[in-house]
Amino acid sequence: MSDLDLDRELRQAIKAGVDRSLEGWTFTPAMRQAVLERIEAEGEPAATPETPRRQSLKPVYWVAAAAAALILAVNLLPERPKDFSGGGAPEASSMASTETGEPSKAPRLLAQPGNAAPLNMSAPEIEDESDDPGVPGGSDALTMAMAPAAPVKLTLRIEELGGEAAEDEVTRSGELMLMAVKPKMLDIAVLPDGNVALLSSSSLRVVDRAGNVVAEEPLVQEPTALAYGSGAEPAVVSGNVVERFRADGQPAGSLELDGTPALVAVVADRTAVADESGVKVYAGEEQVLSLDGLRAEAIALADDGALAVLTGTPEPRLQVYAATGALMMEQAAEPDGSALAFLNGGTEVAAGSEVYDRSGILLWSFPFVPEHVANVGSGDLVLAWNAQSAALIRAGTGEPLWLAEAGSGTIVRAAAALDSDLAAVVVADETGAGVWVMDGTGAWRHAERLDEVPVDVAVTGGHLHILSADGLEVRSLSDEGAP
Amino acid sequence: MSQTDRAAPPTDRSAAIDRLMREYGTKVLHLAYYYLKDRHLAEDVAQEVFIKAYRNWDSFRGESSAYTWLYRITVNLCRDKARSAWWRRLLPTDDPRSAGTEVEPDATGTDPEEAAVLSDERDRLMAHVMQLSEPYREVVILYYYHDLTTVEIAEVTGQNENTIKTRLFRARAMLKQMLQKGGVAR
Repeated sequence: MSDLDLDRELRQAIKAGVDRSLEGWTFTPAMRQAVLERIEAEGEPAATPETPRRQSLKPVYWVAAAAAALILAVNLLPERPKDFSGGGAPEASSMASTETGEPSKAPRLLAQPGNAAPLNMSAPEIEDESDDPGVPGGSDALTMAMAPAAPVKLTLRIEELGGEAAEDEVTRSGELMLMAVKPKMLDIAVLPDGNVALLSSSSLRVVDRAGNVVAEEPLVQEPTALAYGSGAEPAVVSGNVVERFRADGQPAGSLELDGTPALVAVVADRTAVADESGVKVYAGEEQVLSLDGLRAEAIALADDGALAVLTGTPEPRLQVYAATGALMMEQAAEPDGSALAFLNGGTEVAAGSEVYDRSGILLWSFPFVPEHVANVGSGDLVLAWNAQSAALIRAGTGEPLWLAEAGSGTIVRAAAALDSDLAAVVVADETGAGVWVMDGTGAWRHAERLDEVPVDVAVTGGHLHILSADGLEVRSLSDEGAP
Repeated sequence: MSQTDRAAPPTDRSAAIDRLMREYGTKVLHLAYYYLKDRHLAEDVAQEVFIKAYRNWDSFRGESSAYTWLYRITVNLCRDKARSAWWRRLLPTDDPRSAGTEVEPDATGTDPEEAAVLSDERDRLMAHVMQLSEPYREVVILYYYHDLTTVEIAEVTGQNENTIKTRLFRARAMLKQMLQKGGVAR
């Protein structure tokens, strides 16, 4: 059947289908009358009238409204108690005073943006477990945090965040039907322009800071693997196709493969994929490297096109190939995890708990065995985490800036900002979850209890994005109100 | 579409809006439905479209056709509505026949049995259309049901025309694939 025939057939069928399915459902005289009455009640509008919005408050406005209400309530208190453990959010204590001890004139929900002053570490929300006198505590917190002879140690306890977990979703009548048809939320990532990419089972959406969808590209099949380039350009494996996107969410071509890859990594025009048959690297659609039979546990690409491959147990090996395909380094790796990433502009390779240079010299080690490693900010910092620990570490030296332990439950997510030294950590237990945002000094910028474990979180210098099965919520990390 | 679309808008706004409601009210209502998949929401939005058109009458200078202007307002309002709780966009589809409309054989079929089969196939086609994700569903409804050109769809949706053409191409391919399993496009 030709396209014209198909078009004609579809047009006829859709018209008939719509007419039949919506038969008898028209814009009735009563509706028309209701409009005319409203028009009459409003009178003649001004030449360039302001269009009132109706029933379409964006989620962020609700956040802003809630924040404003909280600020008002807090400001009405004659004196804020220092101990908020009775239910207040930990971030509230950050607005009790500035670092000079002067009360803040402007009401703030959160710490001042750009203010590196950490919270008073002796506050009950943060438990300083270190015996090291160099570790910040009490009134010396600021000084110590700014010069971390030892990493700031944080314990993230959900029960100290206050609030009650919301009632079970199942008990909410009317929402149950949504669950079966909603696209499954899979991932969120901050893009360089401050927008966020939302990956669901059916599409990749780009959402601006106010929650508006600014781009959306449908996916033909549910994604099975995902990677981001160094500029946060998403790449989604959907069936046997790797769909590439630009950092603004617009399509940037696709790569059709023989099979469905289990692993994918992308940078610039390069795409590396791995499955049971081996590892392949493409420049655009041209295959430039094929490592047949290499069983990869993890793969990573550097900005210059170099490829790192970590093979599996029982004898894990780390290999690094130049963009030309030449083997630059191969050596045994510690069998302690499959985290793999190029760090510090691609000069270092993190494999398991060890970090090497490209010649294979061991440079430094993580303080724990990370399951995930991500570059932070401009790339000179690294966020590493596993189920129990998270740390912000200076690439190049391996100096930990802060080290957080899950006081209860497990760390289920952590995310780093591209434009700042902020990182978000999510801890979950059987009662719910909590999210903390820390800056490079270990100072809290935000903390709150969540009703449910989020699918993912993302953080920028100004906002925390929380993706749940129900949708996206945005928190402002500044004191300037809603984004 | 009416040939009077591009005429200068009447100066009496209320009368003009009334005329537009009579002419395009049901089209606007159905368009809203295919975005929101909810009849009550669609009815709210359809009324809001004409109120907004009234308020913004000055911005309509007859440079575009009245229906593309109305459709653009409709699309924007539907998107606003959806964004207010965007995760609800994929609400369960209303059963098209939930209003109690009887399933009757298509009038084009002389044989009642054949007509009934054709109707079933068209029901399946509409089910497929409703299963398309919003960007595809949007372009399918505007192109095949509302008879808009790709240029007009680009104007209504604020998208690049090439994007619209690509989506139409993909949507057509997806529907064709669906239909090959079920019929209709024979």
